[in-house]
Amino acid sequence: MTEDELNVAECLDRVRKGDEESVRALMQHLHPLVMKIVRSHRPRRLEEEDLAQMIYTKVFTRLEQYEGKVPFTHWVSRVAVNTCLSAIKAEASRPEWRFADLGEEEQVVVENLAATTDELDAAHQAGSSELVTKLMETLSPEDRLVLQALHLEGRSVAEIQQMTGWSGALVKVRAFRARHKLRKALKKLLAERSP
Amino acid sequence: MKNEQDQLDRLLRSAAEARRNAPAADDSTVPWTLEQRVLASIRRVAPAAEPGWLLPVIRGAFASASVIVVASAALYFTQPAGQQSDSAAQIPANEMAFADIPVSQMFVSTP
Repeated sequence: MTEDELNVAECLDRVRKGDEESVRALMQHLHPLVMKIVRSHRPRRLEEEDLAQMIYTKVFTRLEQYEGKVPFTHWVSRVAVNTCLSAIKAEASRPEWRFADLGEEEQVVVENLAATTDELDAAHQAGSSELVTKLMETLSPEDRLVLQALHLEGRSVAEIQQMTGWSGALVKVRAFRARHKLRKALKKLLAERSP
Repeated sequence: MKNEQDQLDRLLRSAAEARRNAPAADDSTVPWTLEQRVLASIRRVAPAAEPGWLLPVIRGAFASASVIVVASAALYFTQPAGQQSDSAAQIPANEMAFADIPVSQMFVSTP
């Protein structure tokens, strides 16, 4: 549903007056966007629905802060991203993974990366996805967000700017530093594997 | 260094591919439980709505009280000093005796 179909402005007016039907309609409109962000940037220990509830509550109780300068969905994206970042920070868990801590599939992926220069085949995709998730957990929430959006979701720098409110230069610098940290973490795993 | 970057790039590409191939979740409808939880949390956080007529009534009551206070003060200070009905200045000499009058009358009147 696009903003025109729902008429977000009218709906927002009704929400401000306390109309719960409009809250439901707006939630329905925002749900795919919110859940996409939740799935990408959820801390491990928090359930998707709990995080989504935190986001919706923030959106609907802080509506007076929305000035209408940007599309409503952009504003909601920022609220959602910031809520996810806060939740990840609150978890305060930045584990340091060792080769021995990895699952069997992840260990095979590491072995493969060391052994060949070919692309990893489809059979290793699940392992590589889990390995990347683990490596990303060693990064700060902001670094994690940038790398995930750039490399896993295929978003552009402009899209990340829109989503986070950061400048283009900041996004690029964060991505560069985050890649460096991730490379270092992977290098450590590669060095730890049995020869 | 180049080799390490290449390894990371291959890993990221594979993880991105896995993500693309993952079955898409159905987010077309908001789960009922989530909807109810959100509505409940909004009701909890939002201040209780006041009826529209309450504010003018409160304002009117405050204004009336102010007028009464000012008028009383004006009346008190405009009276000549001798005529001020200051109850504090008219405390009877024997306060307890004065208070006992109704009690003693009650005893007198009982047969």
